[in-house]
Amino acid sequence: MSHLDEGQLAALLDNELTPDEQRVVEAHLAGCAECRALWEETRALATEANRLVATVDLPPAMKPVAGQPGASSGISPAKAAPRPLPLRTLAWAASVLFAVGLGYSLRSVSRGPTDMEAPPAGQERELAERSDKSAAPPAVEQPAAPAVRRDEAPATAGLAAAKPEPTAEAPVASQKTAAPPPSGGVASPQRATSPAATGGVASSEVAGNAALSRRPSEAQDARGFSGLARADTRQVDMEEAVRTLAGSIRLVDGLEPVKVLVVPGSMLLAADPNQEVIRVVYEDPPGRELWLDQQRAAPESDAGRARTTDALLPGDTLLARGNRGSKSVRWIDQHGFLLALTGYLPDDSLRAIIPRVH
Amino acid sequence: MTGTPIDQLFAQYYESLVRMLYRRTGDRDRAEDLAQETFARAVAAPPDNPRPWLFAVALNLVRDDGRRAVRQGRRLQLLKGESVTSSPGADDDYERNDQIRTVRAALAEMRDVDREVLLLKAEGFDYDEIAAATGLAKGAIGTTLSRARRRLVEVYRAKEKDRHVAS
Repeated sequence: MSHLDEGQLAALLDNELTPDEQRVVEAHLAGCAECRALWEETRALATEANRLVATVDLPPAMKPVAGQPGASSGISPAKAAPRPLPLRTLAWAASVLFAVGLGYSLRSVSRGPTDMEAPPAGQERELAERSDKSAAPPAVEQPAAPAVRRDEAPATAGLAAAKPEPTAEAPVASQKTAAPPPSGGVASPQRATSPAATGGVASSEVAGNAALSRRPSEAQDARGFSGLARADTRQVDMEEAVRTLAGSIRLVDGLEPVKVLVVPGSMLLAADPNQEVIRVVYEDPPGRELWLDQQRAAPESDAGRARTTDALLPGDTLLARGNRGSKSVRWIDQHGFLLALTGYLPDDSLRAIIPRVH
Repeated sequence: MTGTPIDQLFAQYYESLVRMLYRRTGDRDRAEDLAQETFARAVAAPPDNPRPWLFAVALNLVRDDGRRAVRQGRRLQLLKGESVTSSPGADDDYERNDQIRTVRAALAEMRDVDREVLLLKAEGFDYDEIAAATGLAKGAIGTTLSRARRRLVEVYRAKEKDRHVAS
């Protein structure tokens, strides 16, 4: 028999040989000093390599708590830790585990920032900022063509495959393009729902702000327009939300979702109107609604290009003000997701929540 | 994932997946994000053989994420990772952190396939599972693993030597 190779010795070390193979290899080792030396070296290298890899472990404080669903308990933003890793993990896990129950139990809740009623004329965005880099998330990555390895399939195909294969990251289209248009001159392919929305502000923005700026009581009053009463808006459980978004749902650490809605893309400024938006609704400490809209960046398309040139560039934080006291901050996260956080909080408070969105 | 609910998969594999991704990226936020993205895909498309599937998806995600990062010039930031300091000032911690940085640097210099095989083995994968997760032939796993172990140790020792000479 020729000498053993390192692969055979590794397989012997890792108990991966069949009994017959093991007998042959051990018999050879017994009679071959050269292979015994290689065997000893292989064992020593494996021991050392295992020790080295083991040194790079999750620090105890950040080890995820797997399998312990337990959502956050309505911690106020001010009390929340800057990086409550277990909370994020648990919130995600809980969202998945209890999604069905959550969705159905809250189906009857009628308050919802989802009406599309046109706002009064003259409403406009008051402030669009590009300077607050400290509050802004990291710049979005350039689109990546998915490098398909031998074990990969297109990401989207995997969603519907009867027997899915591991998939590569879906391409993210989010290019930094033209500078933002000046305030009051936003262009958009979307249209307002009322001719009253004029005055130099793009119609889509007015529609978006109108949709996002309703106080709960007003939303209730306008129930015919709002939330679940709309044919194109529906409440969903977290699993469906994940499928709709084609990605993990962004949540606010320290806050517990009240409900999850799917709303038309046309309701969110700078979003792709052809894709639905996931809206996770929370309550802020005073009990007012606070909601996080999210949409995965579309592949390179007219809509995607229109969006990026519309108002928002990666790394920017865009602050908008609604007509009834609501405010909204929008940004693109590192994975190219368009996010918008809207509520009845001061500007700084809204911005302070951004780092807690994961 | 025939018959395996997502909560069970999460309980069984989440920590292992995050640990592997953390070793691969050196960045806990990325590791968490990538793990959650992986599970999101498992929800959307339940796999039949979940453990290799989950780790294969995670490795694909991290590779693609890394390629984008390189194009954006984020490589240095990603390799730098985050602080592993638990009690600044303690000599033992300082030494340990240096060692961790050196191991990470050595891992970063390895070929993708070698590093992945090594990290999967560290998570308790057998050769069949490693083959399923990486696409390599089972018969090639032993050789790849042996080469990866040797490479890691050699690069680590060289870096340690340089570090001690420099200090």
